[in-house]
Order: sequence, then structure tokens, then C-alpha cells
Amino acid sequence: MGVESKGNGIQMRDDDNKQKEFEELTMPHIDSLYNMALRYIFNKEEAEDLVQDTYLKAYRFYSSFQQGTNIKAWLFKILRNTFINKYRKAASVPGEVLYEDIDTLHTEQTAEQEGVSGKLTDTLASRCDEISSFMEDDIKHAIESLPVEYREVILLSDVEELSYKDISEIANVPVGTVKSRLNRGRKLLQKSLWEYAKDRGFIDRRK
Amino acid sequence: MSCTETVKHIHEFLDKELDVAHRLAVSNHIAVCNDCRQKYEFEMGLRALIKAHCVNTVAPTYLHDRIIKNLTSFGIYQPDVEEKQPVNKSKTIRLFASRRFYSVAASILILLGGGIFYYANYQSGNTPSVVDAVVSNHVMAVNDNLVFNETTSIVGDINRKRNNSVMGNTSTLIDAELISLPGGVPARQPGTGNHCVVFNKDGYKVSLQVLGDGNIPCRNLEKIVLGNKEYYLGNCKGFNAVIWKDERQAYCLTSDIAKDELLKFAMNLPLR
Repeated sequence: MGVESKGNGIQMRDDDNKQKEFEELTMPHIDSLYNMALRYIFNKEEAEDLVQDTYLKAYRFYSSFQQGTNIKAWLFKILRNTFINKYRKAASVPGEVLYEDIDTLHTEQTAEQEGVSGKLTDTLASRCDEISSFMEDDIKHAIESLPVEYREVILLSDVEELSYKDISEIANVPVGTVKSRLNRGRKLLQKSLWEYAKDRGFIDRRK
Repeated sequence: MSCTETVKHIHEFLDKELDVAHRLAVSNHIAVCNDCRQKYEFEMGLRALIKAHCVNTVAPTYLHDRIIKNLTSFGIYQPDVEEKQPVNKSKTIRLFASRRFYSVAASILILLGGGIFYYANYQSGNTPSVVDAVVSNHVMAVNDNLVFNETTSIVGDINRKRNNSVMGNTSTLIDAELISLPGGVPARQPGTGNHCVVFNKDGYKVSLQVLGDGNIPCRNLEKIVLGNKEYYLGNCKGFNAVIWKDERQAYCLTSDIAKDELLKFAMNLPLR
């Protein structure tokens, strides 16, 4: 059937255009997605697969993307769903609910506890007049040691600079929860940074 | 604004999520309060540090290439093939348990069985013959004007008009009223001015058109009798055509799929 390419020509051209449009819109975000994938699963090959699955899924559901809304947030949502489907379904990792509980628990902290963590941050801030004296490894460890629920909101906010509203849609939680996770996560992050720095002897030396 | 309040709002301030009034209050306070400014600068520095650390990571170029390659081989773009939310799997399970699923499956089986029966009949009774000049002209007219002509083809128009949803189930007849011919197409032969309906059969396009009152030049076509119906087969430029009549009108089905396949498809069309 030598003529079949002629018959399918128009459909194929439509597909080509669609694919081109999709690529132009989504491929610039590949580094961000890969970066996030690496913070979900700390393994390069698996992160690559996760990003690839995200793109294929996004392509398949491209018609459901609302033009004019944030494509980056949409891609991050698919990435997150793919990650959960693939890696957390069977795993015995505590789910969303448990962290929700912790969120509430922490917002209802006693004044005394608040005071303690507040002082901790101040100590860190006052002792590190040169913020750049943190080592790359300290930062890496501090980020990786955060529970995934805090890690993802912090990265979406600090690195990707997405709005609370976008983050709330990606993480599938209310904006209030995003805020409390950010606050809590940042405190935890500073705490572990402090500890890594202390272990390394950096802070003691400056005493 | 007090120091306590400023510290409380400092993250939202940095995230640019405060309303104008609060934003101004925080920035005014930071301008005058040394302690709070230090805290603000520390937080800002920490963020910059985290960001700098993270943006160091770039996706490998082969991943980029691999994704593009996969998208290309992904084939025809099909909107909404699966459930909308990839997370929701329970829908599929429910579908398998439902009665509707089984009745649909049963009808497909019956349809397939029927098709094979007819197909076997056809195979044993007839061998294809040579298509003469008259046939050739007729089919060419059909093809050139309605089905596979790249400049005037209605196939492309239907796709655009109906947002790709035309290419769905092979057994659904699409409302011909929704489809109109693009202007300026010469109607050289009977039938060319009529609406046509395009189906997707395993990725190939099949075009059905109504030829009018049934008075068609099909005497010289290859004739196949199946049950109480007569089918006429023709071929031109690699396109096959099947023409048949019912009590009211004549139909012509054209495609570049094999004759046998096309005939089976014609027989199973749910025409009124």
C-alpha cells in the first residue's frame, strides 16, 4: 500500500504540530523537574525514569491542561502523582495523614517550645555572620533529611518560586497547610544545618 | 509593627505572599530594626543558598533526547483515553465489575464472530477480478474530491472541527449533518457533493459517503453477494472502495486498507 502515507499525512502533520507545541511549552522545565525528581528519590536513574514518565503522562493528558494556567505547576503535579503512584503505593512509608497530624501538632505547640526553637534560629543566625560558610554537603544533607512533605514545599517555594496557591494545588492540600509546612520545614532545615555545622566543628571554632 | 509580628510574617514577606498593607509594615520595620533586619537577611541568604545548591543540578542531555524520541513514537495523540486523574485507579476496577462492561464485551464478541463468518463465506466464494476503466474513473472522482486529496480533503477538516473526537469507535456512525464540504470542490461524479463520514480503523482512515438515490454506475465493478446484499468492489491509485445499496440509497466506503477488511467494515456499519 504505497499511498497510505498520503492518506495519513494530515493526521500526522496535526500530531507533529501538537507535539512541537507541547515540547516548546514543557521542555524548558526539564531541569526543574529532574531536580525535584532527584529530591523525591535520591537515585539518578530512577529520577530520570520518573521525569520521562511525567512527560509521557503530561503528553497523554495534554488536552486537559488549561491554556493560560501555570504549565510548570501542572507538570509538578503530574510528577508528584507519578512519584506517589510508583514509589509510595506499596511502601510502608507513613502517608499524608500522619504528616497532617504532625502539622496540627506543631501549630499547637506550647509557648515554651516556640521559644526554644525561636532561640535556636537566633543562635544560628547570630553565629553565622557569613551565610556562605555553610558547606555544599551540609545543605545537601539538610535538604535530604527533611521529611518529604516539608522538602517538596520548600523546594517548590524557594527554588521554583511558585505561589502558595500553585503549591497547594500540586501538593493537594489547603493554602494554610502549605504555609504551616513551609514554616515548620524551614525551622527543621535550619536546625539540621546547625547540627551539621556543629558536627563539622565550624560553629564551635567560632565560639 | 512589633518584632514578634514581623518575625511571624517574614516568610510570607519573602515569598511575596503578603497583602500591600502588611508588606509595607514589614519592610518599614526591617528598615529601622537591626535585629529583625539581620533575621531577614539571614533567611534571604539561606534561601539563596538552597536555590544555588539546587539549580546546580541539570538534567542530562540524553534524557532530553530520550523523552523527545519517546513522545514521537508515542503515536497518535489521543485525548482522554484513560481516566483523568492518573492517581485514581479504583474506577478501572469498578468498570471491570460492572454489568455494562460485560454486555459491551459480549456484543463485541458477537460482532467479531459475525465478521469472521461472513469473511469465511467471502473467501471461499470469490476471487478478485480486474477493475475496468469505468470503475477507475468513478473511484478516482470519489478519492480526489472527498477522501484523500490533500488540499481539499475533508478528513483534516473533520478532525479540526470536531476536536479529534471523530477518531473514536469504529462502529459509531457520526452525524453527517455536522460535516460540510469545503468550498470549491468540483462535483464531477454522482456522490461527490454529498457529506462524508470518516472513521478510524486501526489507525487507517475509512471514509463513508452517501451516494444519493442508488442509481450508480457500478455495473462493471467486481460484485460480491453476501446474504441478501450486493457489494461492489473497486480500486484506484491504491485506494479500495466498496459500494452497496439499501432500499433508499447507495453508499460508498473508501480507504487504503485491504479489500477484505474494508468489506467486513462495510458489513458491520450500523446504518439505518
